Amino acid sequence: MPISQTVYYGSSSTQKKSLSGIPQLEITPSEESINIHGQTSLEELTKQMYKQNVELAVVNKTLRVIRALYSVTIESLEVEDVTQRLVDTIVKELNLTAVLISLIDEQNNILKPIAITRSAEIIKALEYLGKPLESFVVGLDNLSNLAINVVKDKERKITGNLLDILVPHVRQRDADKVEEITGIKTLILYPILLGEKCLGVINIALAKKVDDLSRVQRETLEQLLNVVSTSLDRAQLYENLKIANEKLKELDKLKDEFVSLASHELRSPMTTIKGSLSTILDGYAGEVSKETREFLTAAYSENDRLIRLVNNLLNISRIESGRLKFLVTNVDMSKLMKDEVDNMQMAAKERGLTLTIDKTENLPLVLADEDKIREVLINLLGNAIKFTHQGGITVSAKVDKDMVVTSVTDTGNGIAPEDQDLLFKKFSQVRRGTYSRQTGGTGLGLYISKKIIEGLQGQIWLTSTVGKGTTFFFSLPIIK
Amino acid sequence: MAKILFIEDDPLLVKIYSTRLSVDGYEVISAENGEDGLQIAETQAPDLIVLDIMMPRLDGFSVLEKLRQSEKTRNTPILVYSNLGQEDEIVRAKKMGATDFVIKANLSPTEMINKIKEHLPK
Repeated sequence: MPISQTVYYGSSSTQKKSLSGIPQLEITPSEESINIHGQTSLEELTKQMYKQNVELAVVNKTLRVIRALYSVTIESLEVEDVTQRLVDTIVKELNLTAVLISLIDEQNNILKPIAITRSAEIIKALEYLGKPLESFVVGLDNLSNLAINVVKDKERKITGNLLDILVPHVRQRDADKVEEITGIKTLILYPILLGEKCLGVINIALAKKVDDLSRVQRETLEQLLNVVSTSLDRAQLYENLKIANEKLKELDKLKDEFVSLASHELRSPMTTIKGSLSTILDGYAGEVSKETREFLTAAYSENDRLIRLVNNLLNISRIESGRLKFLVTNVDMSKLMKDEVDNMQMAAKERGLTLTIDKTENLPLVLADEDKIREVLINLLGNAIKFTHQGGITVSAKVDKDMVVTSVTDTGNGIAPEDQDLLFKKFSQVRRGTYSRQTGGTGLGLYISKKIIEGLQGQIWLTSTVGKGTTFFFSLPIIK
Repeated sequence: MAKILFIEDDPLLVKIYSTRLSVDGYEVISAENGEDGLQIAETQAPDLIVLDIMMPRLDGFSVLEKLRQSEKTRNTPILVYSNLGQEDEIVRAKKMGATDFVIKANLSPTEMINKIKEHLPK
């Protein structure tokens, strides 16, 4: 009766591989243990049980180590940390002298030592060599180094000479000295493979002169390599992701600075145009003829349109990157309305429209971002002026429960119910899918206004009758 | 009458405001960079300072910090007047002691002058 193959789970008849690569046992007597008369002798059964017990012990051990390795990968995601923990766990669980893991650095085309057992002997050996571990990098084309051959051939290799993995950094007598200090007699090198890809090399050091590991050690180790490669791959992916994320953050910051600077540069000349035109129109630079006034007023309101456009683009970039922030203070809506109605008066006059304020006395203060609300009001007034051809625009405000509701009413064409849904969506003007528009504009204003008002705990809505006109409302919370 | 210091590197803007404010009887003095602005603020005792941010030599934030450290300008109203104006910049200026932050392009000169009058010590 030959020794059953089942002791080692490399056999085919009694072991199946599960999907995870962990061997599974079939606890059934092998065919050889059943005699021709269909009876099994007690001796045979005992042997069988013994073998299966040994096998079970090996599997148990493997499972325990794999579990330990998995927990390593769960506890940390830093490549160096994971590697060091893997090294420590393998040495401890398999009673090895030392383990060294080197990983491939594709960018620099090198194999780089990452972690080694930190025993007193190893530390002493490194001190003797006078260089830190990470300096023992080897070019991937240096075939005089055994580890590089492991990477190239994707198969394990064994040596009794430490020099094989230390070239080109040391000479034979230094390698011998390291051997003397550490007591390492045999090195077994395994490639760390992930599918077809080689991530690096794991170096197993033994204090005995042997041709190979014990079979139990070998089988266990070969099972572990799967876990090692996936956990290292995971850590490397995470690290790459982290680097990419940092780069993105940096880019985002740069973009933010750029937008800020670009809007500054765009708004600066518009400021001086606005200031100069209004100074002329207000009569500070001599008398202005009626005709000149007409042209200058047009220039003034077109310039204001540009300013609104830049402000809206600035807002949209912040909304889109999720960074619309609010500086909330107590805001006096009556004052704000008066400011903006004064500000837009010229644009209204230019189109022959009236622009008036109705009922704003004794309004309580609201909790809002003054600059942002100003932009909302400017957007609503700008739209009302743009879409009204005769009549006028009235701004009003009233208290409704714990909110102040501001409204902008125009005598324009009105908005058909089917178009009302589109209004607060992004690029509402563009969505109509045609360039033959009656009026200009990016269609961003109402979308931005909605984001601003909702961000300030208010609401924005409208009522409209085709042919009669439209009223836009927005509410903001009264301070408590 | 009140004396207003513009620390502002755009001479056209300074001209617009000195034209308009002098009609209302205010005295406008100006500096076209941060360093000169600091010196004039120290020696001329303005009643209010309008301060740009992006300027040659010393930027508005540094000027603001120094103005608030100085005995003479510690309590002077300072309107930061800039076309920057992301929330972070506004918060930063206010933390450093700016009385208000005005985004240049958003206000007409009339509105800006109203703001100045509003913040002038009564």
